[in-house]
Amino acid sequence: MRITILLGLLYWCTWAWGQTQLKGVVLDEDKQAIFAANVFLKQDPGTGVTTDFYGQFVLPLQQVGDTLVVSFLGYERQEIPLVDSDGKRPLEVILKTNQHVLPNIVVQAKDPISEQFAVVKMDKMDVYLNPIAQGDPLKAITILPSSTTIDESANPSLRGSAPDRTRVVFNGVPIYAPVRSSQLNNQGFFSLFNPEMIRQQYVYASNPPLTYGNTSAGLVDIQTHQQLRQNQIQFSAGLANTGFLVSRKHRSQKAFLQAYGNFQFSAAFVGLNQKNLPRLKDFRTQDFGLNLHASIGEKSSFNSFHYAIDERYKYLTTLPSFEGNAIAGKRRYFVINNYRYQGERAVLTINNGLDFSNGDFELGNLDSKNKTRRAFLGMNYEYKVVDDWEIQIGSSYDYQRQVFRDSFPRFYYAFAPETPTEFARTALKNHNWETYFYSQWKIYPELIFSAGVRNNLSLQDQPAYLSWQLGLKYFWQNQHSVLLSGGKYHNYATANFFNQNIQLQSSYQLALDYAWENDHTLVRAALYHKKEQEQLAPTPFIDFEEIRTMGAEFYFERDFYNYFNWSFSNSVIQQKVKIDGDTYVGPRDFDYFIKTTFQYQHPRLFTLAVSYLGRPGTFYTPINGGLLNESINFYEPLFSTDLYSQQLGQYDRIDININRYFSLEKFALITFLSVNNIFNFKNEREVLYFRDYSGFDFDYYQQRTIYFGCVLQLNE
Amino acid sequence: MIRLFLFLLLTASCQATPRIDFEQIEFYETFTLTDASDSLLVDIQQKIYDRFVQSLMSQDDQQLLTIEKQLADLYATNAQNLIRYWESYARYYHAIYALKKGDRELAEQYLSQAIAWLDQLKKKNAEDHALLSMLQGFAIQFNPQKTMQLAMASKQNAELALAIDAQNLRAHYVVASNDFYTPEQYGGGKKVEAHLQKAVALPTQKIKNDLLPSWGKEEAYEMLIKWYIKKEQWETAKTYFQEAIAAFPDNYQLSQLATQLVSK
Repeated sequence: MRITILLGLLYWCTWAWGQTQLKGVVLDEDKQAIFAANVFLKQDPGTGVTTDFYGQFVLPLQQVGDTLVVSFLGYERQEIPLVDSDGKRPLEVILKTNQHVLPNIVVQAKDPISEQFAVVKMDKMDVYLNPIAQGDPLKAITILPSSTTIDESANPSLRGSAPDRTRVVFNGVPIYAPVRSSQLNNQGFFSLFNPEMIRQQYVYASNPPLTYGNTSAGLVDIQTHQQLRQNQIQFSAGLANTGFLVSRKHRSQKAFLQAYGNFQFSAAFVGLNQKNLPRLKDFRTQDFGLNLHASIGEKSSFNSFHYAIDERYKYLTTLPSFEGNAIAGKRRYFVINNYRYQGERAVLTINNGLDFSNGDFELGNLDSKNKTRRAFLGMNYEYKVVDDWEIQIGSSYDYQRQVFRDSFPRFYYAFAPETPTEFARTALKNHNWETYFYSQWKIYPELIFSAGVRNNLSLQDQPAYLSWQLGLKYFWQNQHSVLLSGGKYHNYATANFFNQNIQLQSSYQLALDYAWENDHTLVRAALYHKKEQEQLAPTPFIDFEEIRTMGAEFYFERDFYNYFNWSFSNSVIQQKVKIDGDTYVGPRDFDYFIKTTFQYQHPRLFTLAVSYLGRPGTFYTPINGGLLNESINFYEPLFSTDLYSQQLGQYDRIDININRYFSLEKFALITFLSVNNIFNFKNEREVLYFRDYSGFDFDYYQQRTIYFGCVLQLNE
Repeated sequence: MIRLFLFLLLTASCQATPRIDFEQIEFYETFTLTDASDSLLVDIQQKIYDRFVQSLMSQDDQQLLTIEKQLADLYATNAQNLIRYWESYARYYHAIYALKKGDRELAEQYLSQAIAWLDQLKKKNAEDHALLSMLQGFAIQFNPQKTMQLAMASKQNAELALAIDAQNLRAHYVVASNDFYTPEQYGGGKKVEAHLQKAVALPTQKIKNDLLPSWGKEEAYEMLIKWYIKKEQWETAKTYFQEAIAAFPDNYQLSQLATQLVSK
C-alpha cells in the first residue's frame, strides 16, 4: 500500500512538473525584443518554440534539470541550465550580438555619424562613370549643382564660397591645397587623389558637420578602403602621363597595400595642342602614393597613407608692366596615419597628419620661396547611447608654420626685371586647438535630428569662437528626403604669396535640400542663404567685410532606353559683397549656372559623354587709366571706384569624352579620348591691360584641347 | 601497406567531395511552435511561393497582392526586420510575375522596392544580406547602365552574408551566383563549384524554424548542374541531377535539366 502511495505521489509530481510552463522573454543588449528567436531544450531539441513580436515565449517543461537553448540569427547562442524554480517566474534572456563576425563587418562598413547630412555620397565607380571627372575624385564634384568652381581647377568651390573656405578631409585629416598646379588642368589626375584609393567620398555642400573643423563653407570627406577586393596591377599611358598602380592583399587577408606613381610631361600634349595652349610652356610632375592598411585583431585597424610630389611648370604671363614666363615648383610630402577601434557600442579613432612642402615662384623681378610645415592630431569617440541616439565627442589640434622669403616688386605693379625690389621674410604660425560635441537622434525612423557645437581653445591669443549647427532630415515614401540645416562656422584662411596672413573667417548658413529618387530618375533642389565674414578680394588692397549669398539649385537626372542617361542642372546665385560699408556685386553672382550631360554607356561597346557648362562671366573692377611713375617709367593702375562694375563675357564649354573597355581574359584595356571645349569658345578669364592702361585685351580659359590614352589592368 | 592504402583512399575521397566542417553545424531538428498572432508568418516562404504559382496559373496577381497586403499590415503594427524580409521576398516573386506578364516597368518597380526595404534594414543578418545580394543581382537586367554598381553591391552583400555566417547555404548560393554570372574574363567562374557544392551539402536551416527562410537548396542544385553542363562534365552533372531530383521531385526547373543530360 505504502509503495502504491509513493508511486502515486511520484507520478503526480512528475505529471505536475510536466504541466509546468517556462515563460520568458528574449531581448537584445539594448533591451529590444527579439522576434522569431529559437527557444528549445537541449535534451529535447525536437520540440521548441519561437518568440513572438514582444520576444515572449512559453515553453512546456517536461523534465527537471534540463538546459534551455536560445538562439537567433546574428546573435550568440545562449545555454541556460534550468533549476526547479525556473518554471515559477518569467525568465529574461539577453542575447549578445555575435562578436566573432559583426565588429569586423561594422569596422569595414561604418559610415560617419553625420552621413545622413551629406548631400552627396560617391564611391570609386561614381568617380569613374562621372562624365566630366576624367577619373579625378575632386573633379567629379564639379558636376553637382552646388559646385561653383569657375577657374577650371579641381579645387572645389561650393555654393558660391571661395575654395579656401571648403576643406577636403582625407581619412579625417585636412589636406590644404589639395590640387596640383591649378594652371595645368586636363592632364592625368588633377587633384592629389587617386580614385582607386577611395571607398567613399561625402560632399557636404553647406553646413559641414562639426565633427570636422576649420571650414566655413562645405566639406569633402574622403575615406579610403578598409578592405581590398582583388589584387591588381595597372599601367597607364597618355599624351602627358605614364603611371602605375599596384593593389595587393596580404596572404592573411588582414592587410593590404596600394601603391601608385605618375610621371607627367608636357612635350606631346603641348605639341599637339600648341595653337590652343599659347601660354602653357612646360610642365613636369612626378608623384608617388602608398597606402597600407592592417586589421589588428577583430576590433582594431591601422591605416597609413604616404604621398610625395615634385612638380615644376612654366607658363607665359602678361602684366601691364611685363610679359614673361612664370616658373613655379613645389616639393611636398605628407603622411596620414589612422587608428580605429570598434567596440560594441563605440568607435574610437585617432588621426594624425604631417605635411611638409617647399615651393618657389619666379616672375620678372619677383622671386618667392615658401616653406610650409603642418601637423594634425585628432581624436574622436563615437558612442551609441541607445539604438536611435548617437553622440560623438572629440578634439583636434592643427598646427601650421609657413615661412615666406620674398624678393618682390617695390611697386606692386612693376614686375619687370629691371625695376626695384625689396626683400622680406615673413614667418606665420597658427595653433588651432578645438573640441566638439555632435549628436544625432533618430526621433522616428523617418525623422533625424542633429546638433553640434565646436569651440577653440586659444593657444596664441586667437579670438575665442564657438561654432554651432542644427539639422533636421525627414524621409518619406522611401524616395523623398528633405534636409533643413543651419549654423555658424569658422575657419582660418590659408596663407599664400598674395595673402600672407592666417585670417580667421566665419559664416552663417541656412540651407534646405530636397531629393527625390526612384530607379531611373533623380531630382534634387536646394535653397540656401549664407553670410560670410572676412575674405580677401581678388582686387589688390581690398577686403570683403561681408559676403551675402542666396542661391537656388535644381538638378534632374534620368536613365532611359537602358544605356542612355541625361542630366541637367541650374543654379541661380545672388551674391553681394560689402566693402568699406558699401555693397557691390559679388564675384560669384550668376543668373544661371547650367550644366548638362548626355551619356551613352554600354558595358560591352563604349561610353560616350557630351557635357555642356554655361554661365555668365564674372564681375571685376575695371582700371580706368594709368599714372606714370617717372622714377621707374611704369604706369600705376588707377582702379575704378565703382568696384565690380564690369563683367567678363559669357562662359560656354562643351566637352566630349569617349572610352572603351576591352577585356582579354586576365587583362583589361581601357582606352579613352577627350576633346575639351570642342567648339573652341574663347571664354574670358581676365583682362590684360596695355602698358599705359589705355586699352585692353583678354586672357582666355582653356581652348580646344585633345587628350587620349589607355590603361592596362592585370586582375588576379 | 594497408595503412598507406587507407590513407590514399581517404585522401582521394576528401578531394572528390566538398569538405565541410560538420562540427560547426547544429543539426537540431527543432519543430517550433508559434503564437497564433504570428500565424501569417508560419511557413510564410511556402505561402508566398504558393500564391505566386496560383497567380501565374490564374494570370491574376490578386493572390500575391493579398499576402503582400497582409504582410504590410503586420509590419505597420510590428516593425520587425523579419516581416520586411518577407515583404521583400514577396515583392521579388511579384516582380517575377510581372516579368512573365511582360510588364518590365512594374517588375522593376517591385524589385527596387524590395531592394530599398532590405537596404534600409538596420542590423542586417546573414539572411538579409543574402536576399539583398540575390535581388541586386536580379536587378542588373533592368539597369544595364548600372551593371557595375549593382554587381559590386551584390557581391559585397554576398560576401557579408558569408562572413557573418559561413554555414548558411543561402550565403554560399549567392556568392556562387555572383561568380556564376560574372564573365570569366572579369574574373568570374572560380568560386562557383566550391560554394555550390557546399550549399547543396548544408542543411536548409541550422535550427528548423517555420518563420525563417529555407530557400536556396533547389536553386543551388540547379545552378551546380548547369555549371557542370556548361563545363561538359556530364557524369558529375548526372550525379548531382539524380541527387537533386530525388530530394526535390516536383521541381520544374530541375526536371527541365534532364533534356540536356539525356544521351550524354
